[in-house]
This record gives sequence, C-alpha cells and structure tokens, in this order.
Amino acid sequence: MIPELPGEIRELYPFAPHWTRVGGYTLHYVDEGPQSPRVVVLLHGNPTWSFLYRKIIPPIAAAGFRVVAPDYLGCGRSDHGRHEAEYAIAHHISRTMAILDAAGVEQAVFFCQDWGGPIGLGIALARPSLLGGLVLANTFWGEASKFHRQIIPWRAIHAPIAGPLLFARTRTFLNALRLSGPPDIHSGAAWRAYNLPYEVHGGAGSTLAWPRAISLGPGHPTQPLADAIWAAMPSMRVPVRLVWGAADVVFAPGEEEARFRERLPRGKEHPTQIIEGARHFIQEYAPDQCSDACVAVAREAFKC
Amino acid sequence: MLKEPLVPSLHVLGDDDFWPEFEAGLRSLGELWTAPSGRSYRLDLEGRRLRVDLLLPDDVIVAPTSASEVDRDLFELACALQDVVGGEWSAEGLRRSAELFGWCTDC
Repeated sequence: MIPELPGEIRELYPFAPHWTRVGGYTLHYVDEGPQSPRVVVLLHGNPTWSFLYRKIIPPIAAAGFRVVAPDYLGCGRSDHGRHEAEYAIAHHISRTMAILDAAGVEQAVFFCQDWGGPIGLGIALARPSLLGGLVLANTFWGEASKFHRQIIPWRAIHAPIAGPLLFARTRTFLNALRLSGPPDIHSGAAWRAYNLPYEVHGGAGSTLAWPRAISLGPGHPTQPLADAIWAAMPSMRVPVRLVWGAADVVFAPGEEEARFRERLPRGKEHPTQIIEGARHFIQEYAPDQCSDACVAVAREAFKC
Repeated sequence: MLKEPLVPSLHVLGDDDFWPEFEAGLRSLGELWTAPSGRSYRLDLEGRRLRVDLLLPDDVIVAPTSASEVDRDLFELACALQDVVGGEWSAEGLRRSAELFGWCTDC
C-alpha cells in the first residue's frame, strides 16, 4: 500500500484514502460524495489507477451521487501481489466486489474503461443485483480486439522474456500513457502519479499480467469468463451510455463499441458519444463528457 | 568434492508464464546463451517458469554489471527468441514494437 502521497500528487488527487483488507492484502479506494445508496463506481484499467478519475469524481459527487473508485491489487495505492496468478481477471472481479461490500454498496452505475469493462461486467455477471447502469468507454469484455491480435506492436512486447523486461525490469510499457494520453500527462506530476505505484513497489505490479490475460480465443484461460460475460449481456437491462475516444487504436469506434450497442438491451437508446481526437485514456481527454454520462445514467438508474 | 563458487550467478529476470509455443525456440538457444556483449546467461525453464541468471566470475567478487547493460543483453535475448520462434515473430518485429513504446535500441 501507499499510505501517503507526495504533495504534488495530492494537489491533483486530493481525495481521502479508504482501505479494506481482502484476501490478505490491503486495497485502496476513493469514496466521495454523500453517503447515499445512489452510487457510481469508476473502474480503471492498465496501467492506471483511480488517479485517472481525479477530474471525474468531483462533478459526480457534486451532482449528489456517491462515488467509489477502487485501485485493484497491483495498482495505485493498493498492495501488490506476490504471484502472477493472483492477477487473474476473475480474482480482480472478486476483490473488487469485496471492496464494494466493505463500502456497503448495494447497487451502482459502473463506468468501465479498458479492463474496467471485464471487471464491471464480471461483477454484474456474479451479482446482477449490483448493476444499476453502465457507462462504457474504450473497453471490451475480455476477448482480444483487432489491435490485441497483432504481434506488432502488441503481442511482441509482452511475449516471453520481452514481457518481464519491458513491463517489470524496466517500465517501458508505461509509455503507453504517452502514446494514448494527452500531452499534459506525459510529464510532470501526472506522469509521476502514474509511475508512483511501480516506483514504490518496484517491479510491474499487475501491468504484465493484464495483456497476457486478454483472451485470444478458445483455450485461453480468460475465454470462459469472456464467454460468460457475452452470454449475460442480453440480460443486463439497465440504462447504458457509451463514450468513446475516436482516435483509440486499441478499441476503435465501430468495433467493440458497436458490438456493445447491439448486445446490451438498452445499448441503442442513445448514440455513442464519440470524442474526436481522444485516444485510449479517454478520461484524460474528456473528463466532463465522462462525468456527464455517469450523471445521466445515474439519474435514470436511480430515478432522481 | 565439488566446490561451491564464491560468487553464484545473479538472477536477472523471471517469467512465471512462459508461453508453451515458445518453448522449442528457447530450448534451441541452449541452456547457456551469450549476448553480443560477451556476457553469458543461464536459461532455466521448468514448466512455465523461466529463470534467467547472469553468469559471473565464480572465484572473485567484482563490481556489479550496470542494470542498463543487462537490460540490453536481455533485449537481445528476447529478440533472439522471437527470431528463432519464427513465423510471424521476429527480432525486427520486437525491435519496432519496443521502439514504439520508447525502448531505445541504439542506446
């Protein structure tokens, strides 16, 4: 765990920490806004943490909703695991549910970006009563996108030996934030905030396990989960909105985005809000649009 | 009687999820692999767990090899492995991919 943050990061991310013990580890989450049953849960991906939501949390809280933003094991201010196997996606889902239980969350709108998709949808699969609404942004359900199937530049960098070298022994992979995020996170306090969990703990945390957990099809360990999520989506009859960065090379508009709209019963009630120029870390490009979508879905979900 | 070395080899990289489809390629590189730098590494694959150790002079304690030099060696090893696996995998592909993510291949 990271109990204290450097001052320059606290200025950007002023939220009080919350901690809970799950499976022998200390996990961190943000818990802001009124202590209300109307909750918005913000789920990050790789290689980020709840810092990604620093501009999104305040407007949702100001709109009268409770906001919970966890850091998964191996990410952010949470502990890092001792073995790669602890980073299986199903375990991340289980631990995130435990965080929500500890926080007393009974139902929520889930904002899901990157691995937040499989985790949020996996939570809905495991406990449908938790799902009040969805906002999906540059995400998927666990099956590889077209980008993920390419050896160059994706699979090559997390292949054997290359992966531990570029993700753990060096932190080369963190440059994904520079490739897929706006210039203001390429340096300075924001850059250091994203690097902090790996500097404090050393090693990769969960950054290498995530790309290796992307299912390439039958036989992959994550495929059963991806299949189960896909099968369950037609039963997720909750308000849905999609916000999508147009310039994302990982999940380009028209691919996973279109399949979500087809698969979710209420996926076509609103057009996808396409953000021109926004790449994969859309929260950094368009925080207002992300928070607005959360508030809109929350008002519908909680009828307020 | 076997004499233990004064200096054991130095563990520099582990991979707990070595892909089965890369195993034949790794075995073809042998248990001892020498980088272009001249430094040699032991490659020990057991199941899906790979251990890479830097071989050091075993009878004298010397100053540590710089981490960046070991990083370069390991990158060459990763490239050699992708080249020997072949097919769609190649050293050139890894170099291009790593450079895109900011790895400096000429440093």
